[in-house]
Amino acid sequence: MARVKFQTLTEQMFYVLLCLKNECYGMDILDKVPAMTNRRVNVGSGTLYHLLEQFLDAEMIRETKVEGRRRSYILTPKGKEFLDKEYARLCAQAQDYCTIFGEENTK
Amino acid sequence: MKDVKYCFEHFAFYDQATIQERLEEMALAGWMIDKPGHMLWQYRRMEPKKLRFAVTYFSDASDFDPHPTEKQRMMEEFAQKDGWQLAARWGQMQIFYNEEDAPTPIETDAVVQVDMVHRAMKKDRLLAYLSILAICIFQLLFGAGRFLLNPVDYLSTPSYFYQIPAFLLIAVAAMMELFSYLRWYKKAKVIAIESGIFLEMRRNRMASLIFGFLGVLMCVLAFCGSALNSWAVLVWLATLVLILLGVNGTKNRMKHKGFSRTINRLLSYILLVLLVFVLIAGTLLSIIHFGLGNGRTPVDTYEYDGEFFNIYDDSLPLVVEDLTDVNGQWSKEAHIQETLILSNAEYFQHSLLTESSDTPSIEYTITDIKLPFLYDVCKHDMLETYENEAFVPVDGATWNATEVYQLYWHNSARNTYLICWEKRLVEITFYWEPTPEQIAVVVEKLGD
Repeated sequence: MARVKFQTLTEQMFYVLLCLKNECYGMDILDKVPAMTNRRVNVGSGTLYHLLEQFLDAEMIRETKVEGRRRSYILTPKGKEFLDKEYARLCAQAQDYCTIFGEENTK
Repeated sequence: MKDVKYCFEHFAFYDQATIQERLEEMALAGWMIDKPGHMLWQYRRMEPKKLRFAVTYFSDASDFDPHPTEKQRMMEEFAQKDGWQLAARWGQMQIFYNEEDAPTPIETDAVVQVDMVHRAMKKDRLLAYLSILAICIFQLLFGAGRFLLNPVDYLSTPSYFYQIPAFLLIAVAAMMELFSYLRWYKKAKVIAIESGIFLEMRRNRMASLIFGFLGVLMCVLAFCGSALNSWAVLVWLATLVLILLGVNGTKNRMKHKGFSRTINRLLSYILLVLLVFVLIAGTLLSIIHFGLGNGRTPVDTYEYDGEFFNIYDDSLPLVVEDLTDVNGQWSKEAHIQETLILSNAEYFQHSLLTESSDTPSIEYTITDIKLPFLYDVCKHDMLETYENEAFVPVDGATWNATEVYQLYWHNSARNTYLICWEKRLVEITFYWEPTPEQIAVVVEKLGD
């Protein structure tokens, strides 16, 4: 299902993919996301594991290193495409907000 | 003081919230989950503690795995980083606990969580419910075919008749499980996508468990009702327990010995099929061989033409001696089948083969109908018993019955009658032509 296979990304999906712009160990994402979002977003360990599996299946990320159970991943062009699409969707949403309430209300 | 405790738990497999709450309660009472199971969950004693529990699913895992897979361990390591310790694994289910008060939950994305539950359910639970449903439907259709062929036999034989409620109840239980899951999944998927909230299941399975239990009870009744001998019932129950223990024990041994999932699964299924065939066939043959199945034991045997025959002395409501003044030796057999709605008793009094051919014999069937609407169905069935012979209506006055039929082969009358009383149908075959006095005795002895 995963949001009709990533047509739109949930916040957690978005940040996990964002973390993988550069090669990164799966487990490190658990620290990276809260750090990146000033602890606003936490990714649960189960959620992270399942997301990595789903992204791998959908070829949105690829494995770069396997050291026993320690694996690292990196975003693929396909994954970047999904991120870009989501970014565009979020921008369009923000733009719509501005159109309705004006620039002064955006802060 | 016991260090292990077993509790009957009726959780739905995917009801994470209820399972978590229950495990938290148990931990507070000093019991840590050790081995989850289908019904009985095993707990081990520990210091009472306030712990947080999380139930999660790993769809690639299987109950046949000798060890958790590398990926499963990887997920467990991820969980450990947030302070989640593994408490137990059970097939696809993994249970973690955390000593922190407010740890980061293991699942933080409702969409992923619903997807994870669904993948695990799809892998074997849904298939299992569908298989149970298919077996029940097949059995009910098979039963319907058997009913159409011989309604009296079907409705009076416990092993056939109790199969109807048994398989209906089991089918209802499977459907309740299946539909309540599918309804939850449909709703949870929409809510997760639209609102990002995980819809908790919180389902009380008591109703479906009761239906399932009653269904199994009916199956046992079906067995017990047919096997009049209590030894036969015990032998059947022991056979079923042996099959379950045999397959489960072998599966667990193979797991301990490190057999791969595929080999374990394959060998377990082969063993199941073999045990079902060998043990059931063996049990059936033993029951027949030792005469445990019919609850009757012969009183003697006799030899005729180099062969041995049993002599029975069952109690019959009407015997040849009631009708004629003859001496002879007979074997008297009664085969009685009864259910809540119909009883059908076949009685035979056959002269021994060593007796002269003049020694009369008699046989009759008494069918008591407990539900009036079944009367015509049974009568019609009994009228159609003989393929090349036909029952023809005759005067019922001498029999004091509403209707009487006599069996004819072409134009030749047989001494076989079907007598229809108000709630009782009797088919009787005399090995001679009965006199009105003898008929009066039959009416007195067998009339309803």
